[in-house]
Amino acid sequence: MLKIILFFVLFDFAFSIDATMEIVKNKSNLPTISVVAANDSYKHKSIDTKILKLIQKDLQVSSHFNDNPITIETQFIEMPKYKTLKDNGIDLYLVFQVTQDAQKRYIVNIKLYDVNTNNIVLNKSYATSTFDRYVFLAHKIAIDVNRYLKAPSIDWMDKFVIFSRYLDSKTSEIVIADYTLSYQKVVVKGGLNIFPKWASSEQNAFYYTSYKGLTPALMKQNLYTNRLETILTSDGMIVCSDVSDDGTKLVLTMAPNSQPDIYVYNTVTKIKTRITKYSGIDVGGNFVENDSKIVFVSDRLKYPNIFAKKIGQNGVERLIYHGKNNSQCTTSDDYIVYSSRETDNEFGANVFNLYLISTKSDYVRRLTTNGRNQFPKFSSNGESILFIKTTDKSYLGIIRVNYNKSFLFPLKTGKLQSIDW
Amino acid sequence: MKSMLKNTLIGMCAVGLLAGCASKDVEYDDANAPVSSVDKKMDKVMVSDDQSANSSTNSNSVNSLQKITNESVNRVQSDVDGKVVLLESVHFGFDKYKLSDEMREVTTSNYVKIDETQQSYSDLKIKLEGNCDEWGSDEYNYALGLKRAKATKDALVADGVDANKIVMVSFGESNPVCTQRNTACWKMNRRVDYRLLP
Repeated sequence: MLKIILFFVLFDFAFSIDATMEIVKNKSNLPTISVVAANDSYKHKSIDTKILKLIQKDLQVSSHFNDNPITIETQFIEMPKYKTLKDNGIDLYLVFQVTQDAQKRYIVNIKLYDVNTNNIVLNKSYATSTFDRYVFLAHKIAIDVNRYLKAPSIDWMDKFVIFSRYLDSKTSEIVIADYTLSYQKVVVKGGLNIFPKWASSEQNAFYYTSYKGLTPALMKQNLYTNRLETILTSDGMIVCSDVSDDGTKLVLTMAPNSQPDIYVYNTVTKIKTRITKYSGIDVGGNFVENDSKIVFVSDRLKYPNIFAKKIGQNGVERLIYHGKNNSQCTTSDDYIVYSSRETDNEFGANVFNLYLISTKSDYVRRLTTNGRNQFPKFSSNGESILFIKTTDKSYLGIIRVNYNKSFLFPLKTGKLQSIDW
Repeated sequence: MKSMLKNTLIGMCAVGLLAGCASKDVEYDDANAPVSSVDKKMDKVMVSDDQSANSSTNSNSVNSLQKITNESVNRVQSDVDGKVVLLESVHFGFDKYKLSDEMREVTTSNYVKIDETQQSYSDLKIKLEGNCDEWGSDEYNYALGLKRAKATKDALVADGVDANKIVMVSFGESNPVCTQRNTACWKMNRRVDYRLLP
């Protein structure tokens, strides 16, 4: 049966090479999985139910499975009733049990069964000493199940998302979280601290803008040693918009001469190079094409739009010929996602939508349909886009580009200011 | 992303193949199952608290108070050695950072008060804080707030204030004086506030 699935999946992807095309996959082509919490689980603060829901959510977000949430009463050691599972159309059966060991650690044991071959195919345990980290146990389980199937990686699920949230006037804090916002830990608090940006893919340190002094300062903080460095200060504003893959170059928006322009700062030589010299607004730079070019937002057409400039050259290239107010962008290889305001005044609904374009074609694909969708950020592999959705409250959104699916996770306190992952 | 999609294709092929061959996989023994801990790095995460710092974002630290005197005019009161100076905020149009004629008159009016104060306090500094409404992207809003502060600075310098006495900061949309969601409120938030630093 799974070989039949293989055929359909092959068929689907043969027509899905261009990510700007809308792809609607047939759910029946995916393996169906059922996740069950064993009834002999430790149930402190409903940890078993919390883990169950998170694993189901992770597998749903992965878009590599159909979830069949059937109710099964079972102990962890019991063998699955394969016939019943097959009759319910289930291909994979994941059962887990939560326990506590002598050190009071939370242990989650899992068993994954291939129902079609009547075999156990994965048996593993996960541990944490702290209750609220159960979130990452659930993400690791989902990652391992996905990895067992050799489906496209979802390893990003147990990485930190870092964000700033406004709490009050001129007051914000920087938080690390999992991508569902189920786990949150404040890492910078007090005053106005905004635009956090990971210093490298290892997520050991991050940059952010601090308003502690008379002028804004770009700070770098190590997450594990608490070492805090002042990198640069600038009259008016300073923001780290992008970090090169090797972590040695930063794209900054700063205004040492009262004029917001794009700069590249070399963290090794400590030399900053001014990239744009326009008298209006240039902000939000992102490296593209092996750090040889910067894509940025500028109002040089009297409204915000997306442009590109080759480092070391004079010409500026307009990239977007759609919309009247395109004020944020993120890049991945030849792809750009930008946020476009659908109206050009403060009246009316003021919808902000996200659009995906390829620099190799003129096709534009709309990724959202309503509301305020802003601050898009590509994942490192370009497969997903994180964004902020604002209604009466803030949501962290994730778009699974190849699967034409998006998911929203609410922020319980404050308003999201910016995000990175 | 194209290479990613190819990987997707290959990966999903492997899903079917491996799932079909799963019966050859080794069965695991519970007692020997590997334990994966999430604690190793997370135990070391530290928190930075800037609350003890001398934050310039706190209005009281520069002896300035924000006062909303009516629905359309915002004034910031600065206390310079007991002398109260009330300076009117400068407002801007939607997505604009150019001073209107009306607002140019406000900057001149403010200049007169600043000049009077500087006669007695020559070290006085003027801090211009640019602000925006909630529309637009956050980074763009911070730049827009800065351009508004810069337009106000240029007007002050043109009137006779030493440019070296002026510092600017943009608070983007982080410092609204009105939090209702209507056009009158957004208009009040598109502004530059003056603060005098004794």
